[in-house]
Amino acid sequence: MWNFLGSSPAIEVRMRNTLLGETYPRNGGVMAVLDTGYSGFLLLPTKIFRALRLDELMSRKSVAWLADGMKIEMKGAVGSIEIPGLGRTLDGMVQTLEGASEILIGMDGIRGLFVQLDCCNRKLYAESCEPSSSEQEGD
Amino acid sequence: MGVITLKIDDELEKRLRVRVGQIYGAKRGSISASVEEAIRTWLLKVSTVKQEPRLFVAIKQNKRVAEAPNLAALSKKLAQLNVDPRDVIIETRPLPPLVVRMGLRTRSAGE
Repeated sequence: MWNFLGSSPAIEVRMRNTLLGETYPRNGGVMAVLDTGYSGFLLLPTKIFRALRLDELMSRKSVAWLADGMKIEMKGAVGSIEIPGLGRTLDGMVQTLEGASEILIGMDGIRGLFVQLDCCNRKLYAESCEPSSSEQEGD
Repeated sequence: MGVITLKIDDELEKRLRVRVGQIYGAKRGSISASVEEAIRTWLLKVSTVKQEPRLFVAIKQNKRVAEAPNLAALSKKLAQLNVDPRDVIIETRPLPPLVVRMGLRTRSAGE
């Protein structure tokens, strides 16, 4: 269970560049806003994207379609979200765009989770409803 | 109607009775109705997940060099093949959409 961050639901996470062995933050976790209006996996400020050395991986460009109709090009590379409270790791396309100032978890970042938003008590509950992608048999 | 006899924690029972009383009053069957609603929510939560499995594919010079269901396993395979992760393009299957929708975040103009 997590409390809202300001007016937004948020989850404590750690981010990982699994391919290059980099983690952010190195100790503990950070609060990431759950943004159900974002269809992607994870959006990071450019500073954190670089700290994770995700810019060293070959990036895949995509386009962000904003709610006001504007389209902006985004950089992306594969990475992982760890949710310590659930003991769960999810892999997906981590994105960044110039000016991003928050860590946002999108709809793809909560796949396999059963999420309840309690706006009466400003709390977010989440539970895993499928095995962690990093727990699945890999070989 | 089915009948289930339950043993639950005293504190939980107390909280349930107080809250049910506040919401439904002393109406007969109100505890059964609230437990039935809780069971429906639980069944929904544990229902079978219908999601397409995801695959991570490493591509070098237009050739698939490795694939795995997660990045930890892919990283292991690339290390075994002596391939630097920086030299490959990693794609997910199914391919994610090229256009990603972003919600509108609002803040007061002073921030």
